[in-house]
Amino acid sequence: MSLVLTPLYFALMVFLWPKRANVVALLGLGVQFGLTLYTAFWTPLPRRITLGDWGAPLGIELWLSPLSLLFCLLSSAVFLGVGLYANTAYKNNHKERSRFFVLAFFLSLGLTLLFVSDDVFNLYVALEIVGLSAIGLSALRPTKEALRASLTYLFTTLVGSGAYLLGVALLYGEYGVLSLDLLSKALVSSPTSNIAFGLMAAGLILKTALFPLHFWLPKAHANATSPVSALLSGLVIKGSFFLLYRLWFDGGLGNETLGHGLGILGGVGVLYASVLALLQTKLKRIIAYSTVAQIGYLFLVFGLVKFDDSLVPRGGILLLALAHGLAKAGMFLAAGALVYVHKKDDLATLQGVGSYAPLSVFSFGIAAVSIMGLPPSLGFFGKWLLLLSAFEHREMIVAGVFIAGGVLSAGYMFRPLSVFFAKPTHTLSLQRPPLWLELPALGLSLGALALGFFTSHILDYAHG
Amino acid sequence: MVVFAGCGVFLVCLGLAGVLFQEGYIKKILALNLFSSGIFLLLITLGGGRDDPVANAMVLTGIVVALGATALALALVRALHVQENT
Amino acid sequence: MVNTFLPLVLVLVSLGVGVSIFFLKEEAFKTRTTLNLSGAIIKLLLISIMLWGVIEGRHYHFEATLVHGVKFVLRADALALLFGSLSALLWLLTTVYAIGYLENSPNRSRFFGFFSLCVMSSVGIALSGNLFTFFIFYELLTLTTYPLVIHRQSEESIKAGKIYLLYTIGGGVLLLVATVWLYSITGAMDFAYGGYLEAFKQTHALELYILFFLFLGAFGVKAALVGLHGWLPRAMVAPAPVSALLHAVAVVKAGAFGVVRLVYDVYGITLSYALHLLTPLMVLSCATILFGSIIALFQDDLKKRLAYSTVSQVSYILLGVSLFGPLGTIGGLVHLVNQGLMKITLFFCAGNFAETYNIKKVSQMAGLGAKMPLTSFAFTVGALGMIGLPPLAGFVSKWYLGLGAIEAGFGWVLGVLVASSLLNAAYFLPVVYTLWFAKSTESFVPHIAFHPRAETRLLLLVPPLLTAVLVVGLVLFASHDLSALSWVRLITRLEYQ
Repeated sequence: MSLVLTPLYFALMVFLWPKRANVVALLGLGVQFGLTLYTAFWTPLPRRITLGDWGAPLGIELWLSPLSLLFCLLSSAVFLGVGLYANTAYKNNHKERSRFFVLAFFLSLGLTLLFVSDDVFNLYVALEIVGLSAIGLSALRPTKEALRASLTYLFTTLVGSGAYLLGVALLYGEYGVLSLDLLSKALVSSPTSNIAFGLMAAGLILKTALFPLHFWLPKAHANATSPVSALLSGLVIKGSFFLLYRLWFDGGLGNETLGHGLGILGGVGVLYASVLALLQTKLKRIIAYSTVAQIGYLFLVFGLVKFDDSLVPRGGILLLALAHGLAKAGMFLAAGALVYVHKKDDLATLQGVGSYAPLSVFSFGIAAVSIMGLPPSLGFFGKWLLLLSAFEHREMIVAGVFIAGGVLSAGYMFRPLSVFFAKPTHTLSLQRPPLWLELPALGLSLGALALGFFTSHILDYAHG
Repeated sequence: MVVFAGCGVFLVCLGLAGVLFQEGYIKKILALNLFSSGIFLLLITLGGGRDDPVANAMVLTGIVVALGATALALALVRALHVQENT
Repeated sequence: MVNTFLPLVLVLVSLGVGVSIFFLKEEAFKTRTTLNLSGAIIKLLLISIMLWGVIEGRHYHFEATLVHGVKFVLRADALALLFGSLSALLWLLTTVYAIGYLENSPNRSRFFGFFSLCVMSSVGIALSGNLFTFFIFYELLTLTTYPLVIHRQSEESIKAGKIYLLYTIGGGVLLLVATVWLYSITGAMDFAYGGYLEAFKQTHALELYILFFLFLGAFGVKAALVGLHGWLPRAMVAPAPVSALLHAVAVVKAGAFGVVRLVYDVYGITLSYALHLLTPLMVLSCATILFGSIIALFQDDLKKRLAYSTVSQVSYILLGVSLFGPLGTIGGLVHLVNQGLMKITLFFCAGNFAETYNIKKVSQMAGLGAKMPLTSFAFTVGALGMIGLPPLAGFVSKWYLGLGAIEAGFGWVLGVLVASSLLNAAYFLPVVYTLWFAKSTESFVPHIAFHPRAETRLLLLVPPLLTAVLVVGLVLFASHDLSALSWVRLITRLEYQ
């Protein structure tokens, strides 16, 4: 339970103590990370926690499963990295920094709640906390573009939560319980539950930016400041996806047609977003479209499980989600370091920056390796498992999407890399980004690469 | 009860249409509130009915959330207004 | 214990060296050179130990399960050692050469860092015990050679790099598809002498057929099969040590090695024959042989001429693979070794000409033989070997290939061999003639500093001379048990059981 409350506590601390925000915040993030590690490895899992001894259906229950803890680990690790980055990036602007950390802690609170809650209404609350914090964060630096993007994000996310809540209403009306555990046991296929789940799914895919409901993401992620983009692309997206995944598999709310539909949308999303990523001229936009493409991959699992009931596709999705969280956050941070020095993120401006910020470009490259799905990164193993499942069941279209997506991702990742490695134009600033700006990116990207070696450990832990 | 449910659905649709098609942020925010109100109505009618403690709890929470969201939205619109006029 | 970890250590040595070098400052010349050379020497030592061990009957095998029953396997079988020893030896020589070539150039730490990582990938490819491991190192090779291709960072280099990536990533994608597909049919399986797909012949014949061509496409990109060769001439913009590497040891050979593994240790030569896979391979390789040689005739830039020659020559290996029968196999495999030695000699010499006197075109080389006799001598040896004159190494391979063609019943292939030898002569002999006998038209002004009595820097001179000696030596000692030829005969025996 402290897992959930720690961020809240630290949010208050930062709020009350803005001058020393960085120290408090980093302490808090560190504590959170440590606490998560401890809970993940040294406490018995899975287990159910009841709050205040009020059992279901009225009370709130938490469900700590290995899967939840893995995502909590991802979350706390990314927060730590982003926090370290933000510490240096905002060091000239105390107000902005403390605001960032307060909101970040609330986001962390929301996400953790999302990962461990076991009743659908609590999950709604978590979704809203996440959503509102994310909106606040994306408008942190109130430029016109950022504000407009945040407002679009606000409307879409609230409509999404609304749809979700409506689904909850229907389910509650039909079954009288909110606990996922009880729901899964009581569930029968009826028009009401199908509509309910359809609504919830619609809301969640809107929040997760599945094609064609992805329109808000590129602007929001690209116009936010880099640490915020890292959090948005790396974690927030995973939150709503995690919820959908939970409802589907643990709640038993999925059905074949929907799965097929989601799979198709996912596949189209991969191709559409990848092509668009190739055409962008600004670095952060490329990264944002890449996120939409990677999300598409994640949704393919719902289509695949129609054929493959084994743990293979689900394992693959888990690996892809974890890899993307780490790599995308690392990538945004690396991009942030580059933009910090050069003030603009046009590819033309950043030509030749590889000679002056080798560490950041290296981090970007390592993250790209995972995004492209090249060995031995974690992203590769996720892709491998999904491809294996596709081939084993002769799902050639799915395999084709993966292949095309892979080639396209190589295209849109090597484009900026080639620009970075070219000879610098004479207008390039010679300054190197501050070290503490570059190190978190390196850490997160290396994580995505190195964890590839621990794939079987991760999978065993998740399914054990 | 059907009347309430029908109102709820009507509000939801109206609100959604408003968010999508109305010009101007203030109008969109209003539409969003209509949308939420519709959902709350449905929550109570389809949920446990007005005597159900759980349903009431949910709606109250929802109202608070909507309040916060509206405040945030208005703050953002104001900031945008400031930015556009400097 | 040793038997398990030696292969892994071999791979990790270069990784360690590479990563360490990245952190060295540009000026740390001594440290970097020490790291480089000791790394290369240690590799050579370790491979020799393994070679000796395998002869004594020991087995070297390392495996780790990475995910879901899929194993990462490093194994020192006969083919692995053939390719691995060649790689290790040539790497050492190229390292020496590169140190000399890049003296006072910028970004040496970066270069040698990636250089070592390339070695790692190359050795990994050699020692891979199954397709999955092979794929990992194959992609790593692409990733580590790209920075070397664009090293000079000129606009031309970057463009060449893009094209290189286009081809190799495409090949990598094909390889991934083919590997996963095959795994979905067979489950995770290791390379085995004589192949392991025989059991699936009845049930999956069509898929195996399609898969073969997917694999061929993937490997063909790196091996520069006709149509997939486009990246190779453009990559010549890279510094000479990189060209030497890419064309004698690492990339091109990796592609050819892949095909060798495919036909012998995955499908098995008998199955390949039964599924009629060998004839298309033969046609493709013959087409490439002729194509490369013809285009080479028209190149005035020396490195480009050598590049197209490589395109042609690597397909000799593939031709040998496609000829059903031990003689063809011997010819192809021994050419793997021979072509490596000869080509690297030629590229070293080309680098010397360019670096010492800025001579890049054949037309400029008139009379250069008098100024750089030793280099020109090495070049001549390499060129004559390529043409196939006895007693040079190239002759042995062509001899066996010819015999293999007759044995397999494809007499027309002899015609291709003769024609290509004539073409080789047509584009190599003029260069040799120009070097020695043409009247010099340019005044040769040295571009770099070296000992006044030598013809160029020592580090640039020794490697090509050594490889030239080997080109001759290989044949003279062919009957010796440890020679490449005997080793290849051993491999052939094992594959045809």
